[in-house]
Amino acid sequence: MTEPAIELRGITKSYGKKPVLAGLDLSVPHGSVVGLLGVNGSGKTTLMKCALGLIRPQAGQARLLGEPSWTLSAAAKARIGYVPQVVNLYPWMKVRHLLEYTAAFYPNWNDDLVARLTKEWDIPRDDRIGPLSVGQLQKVAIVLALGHEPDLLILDEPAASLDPVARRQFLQEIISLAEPGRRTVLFSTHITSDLERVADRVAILKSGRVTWHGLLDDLKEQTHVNLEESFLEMHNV
Amino acid sequence: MLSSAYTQVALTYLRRCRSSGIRMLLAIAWGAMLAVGATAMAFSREPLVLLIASFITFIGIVDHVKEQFARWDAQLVPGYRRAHLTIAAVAILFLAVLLPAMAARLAGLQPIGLVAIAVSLLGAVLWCELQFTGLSWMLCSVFFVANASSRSIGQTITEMASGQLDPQAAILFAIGIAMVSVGAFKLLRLDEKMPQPRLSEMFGAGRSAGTQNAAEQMAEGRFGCWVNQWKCPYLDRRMAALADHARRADTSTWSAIRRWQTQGAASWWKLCLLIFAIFFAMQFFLSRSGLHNPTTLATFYLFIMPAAMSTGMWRLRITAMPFEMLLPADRATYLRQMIAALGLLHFQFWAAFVTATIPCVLLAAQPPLPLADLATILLGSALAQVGVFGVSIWLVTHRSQVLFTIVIIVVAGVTGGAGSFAVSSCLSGHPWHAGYKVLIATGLFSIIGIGSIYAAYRRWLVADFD
Repeated sequence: MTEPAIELRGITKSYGKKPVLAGLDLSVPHGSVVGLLGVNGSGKTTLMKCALGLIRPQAGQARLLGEPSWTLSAAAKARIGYVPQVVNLYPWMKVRHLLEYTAAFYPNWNDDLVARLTKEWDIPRDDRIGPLSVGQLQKVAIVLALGHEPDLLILDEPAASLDPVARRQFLQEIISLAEPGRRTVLFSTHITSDLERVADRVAILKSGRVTWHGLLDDLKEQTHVNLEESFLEMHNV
Repeated sequence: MLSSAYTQVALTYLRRCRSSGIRMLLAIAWGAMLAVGATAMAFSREPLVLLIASFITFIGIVDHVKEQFARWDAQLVPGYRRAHLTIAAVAILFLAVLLPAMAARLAGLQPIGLVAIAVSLLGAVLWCELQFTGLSWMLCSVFFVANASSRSIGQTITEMASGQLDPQAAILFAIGIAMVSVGAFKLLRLDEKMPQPRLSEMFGAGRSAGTQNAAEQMAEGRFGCWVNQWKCPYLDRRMAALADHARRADTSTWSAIRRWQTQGAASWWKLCLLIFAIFFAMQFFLSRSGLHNPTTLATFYLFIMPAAMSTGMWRLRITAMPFEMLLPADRATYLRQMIAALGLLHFQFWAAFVTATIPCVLLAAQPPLPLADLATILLGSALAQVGVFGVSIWLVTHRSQVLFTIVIIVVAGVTGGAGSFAVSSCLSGHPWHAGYKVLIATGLFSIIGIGSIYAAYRRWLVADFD
């Protein structure tokens, strides 16, 4: 039996005295598209960063693509794409410089895909990173994450700063990339309609734990309402 | 009472100080320094401590006020500007005028001298904070360092503070008031797209995406467009080289290190040329006024500037670390190579200063600098760089704004101290072998630096990247 793409067991993380994740468990099977839902401050970003080995949990085990997250090998990292919520890159580089620089790290960088996306998404290749708007910066980060056609994509509110056109294009890209079960995608969002459009599974985070995780259709069947109403019910709203 | 806008604004100063233990200790230390300085001035007519303490406090206050004004609240919240300006004006009036005047009165002197120096210091701080920050701070520190070793300047300050140079003090006071007025005018024009990051933000903390810094703003202007066009072919070549290094990383250790040199675009030989030009101009003007020896200036350059520039480069490095951490390289390899890349950069800065300043010294120093002294200065400054690099890299692993400030103080203090030591040991008519003290001191410091580099590496291995 193959190991899940993401395996989190008993993850606990606090910032000072404030607990964010409290013994969280989550297992994301290969080829699935999982939407992560939770109110502000529920720990979605912390969960993703623990999974990626960017921050170290105080307890529990995090594994990614069969390896411990904290000591990911170069080969495993070459199979991962990540879009952070706050994008910090090199402000003095031009967009095309950053694309060329990042491409040099990956043996299977898809120049055609990157060229197509930058054209379709109107990304100014000759502009410097520093003065880009938040939305443009997010588009660049998405292209950087997709350029090497990763097996696992982790996206932290990737569409939050995109305009409606860019959001639609981005979702279509995710759908085509994930089809048919070729890649694993974990993404957080507050826009439930996006999640319903793209995800086949949903994980709901509350009080530092995953309170519901399963197929999206199962959730709808159980609750007989749409995803947004289910989410609100779970939070007693 | 507590709900008054003025009280709430005043409390922001106190809350800023008490939000962490170290910060509170620093605030108490500054307060104590001010009190001791004022007392020392009153009893022994020694103005230096008071002026240094005032200078540091001015930086803190202006930094705080700048942060308060460079936000949307300043434009939209009714009464916001009035309350903030009033409290800032009261604090500055106390520190720049009342405190020096009281200290001078207690010492039985005319207050104009000390007040003039304090006001001009405030003007200098405002200018540096609100103009082209990086360049201003660099020029200001170089000027300060160049003059610190001059007895004439020190004597002038003491004489002015003692009331012996009142006409000159009045002129300095007028200049100081003019600088403060310009600074206040610029402060009022700040908006949320502040033209300059605060000092702490220069090192990455809290700088939001899309915020422009001075270089970015300049690049959008007409002059900036011309500079950009001029820079563009170089930037393209540099980026192509960087990408080449990334491709060759598996087969070449040199490339594996060079691929992480992503901290900015600066041509090494252009840097040398710039340093040479600044150094030559400064030593020309200062030597004409008989204020210093070119060797003194070169020594301070070699000790302080490479460390200061290298520490400044952490800004870009720190913000991009999470991105770099997920590029295909395991954590330990990335950290080793990244630290090596920064060390190499530090060495490149030092080599640039050596290349630019030493020929000037050899040509201009009178009497000529003995080769043994030159060797001591070169070796001593190289060893000091190892120490500073290690200590600063270790402090930066803690990723706290307070520690960033401490990094700057450590860099300035340690290298400045080592530089003074080198100058006094080598260049004051001592026999040539007196320089061994410099080498022992900087050698010990370099050993501490090597230990700190190892400690920093171990700490980064378990540190969060977020």
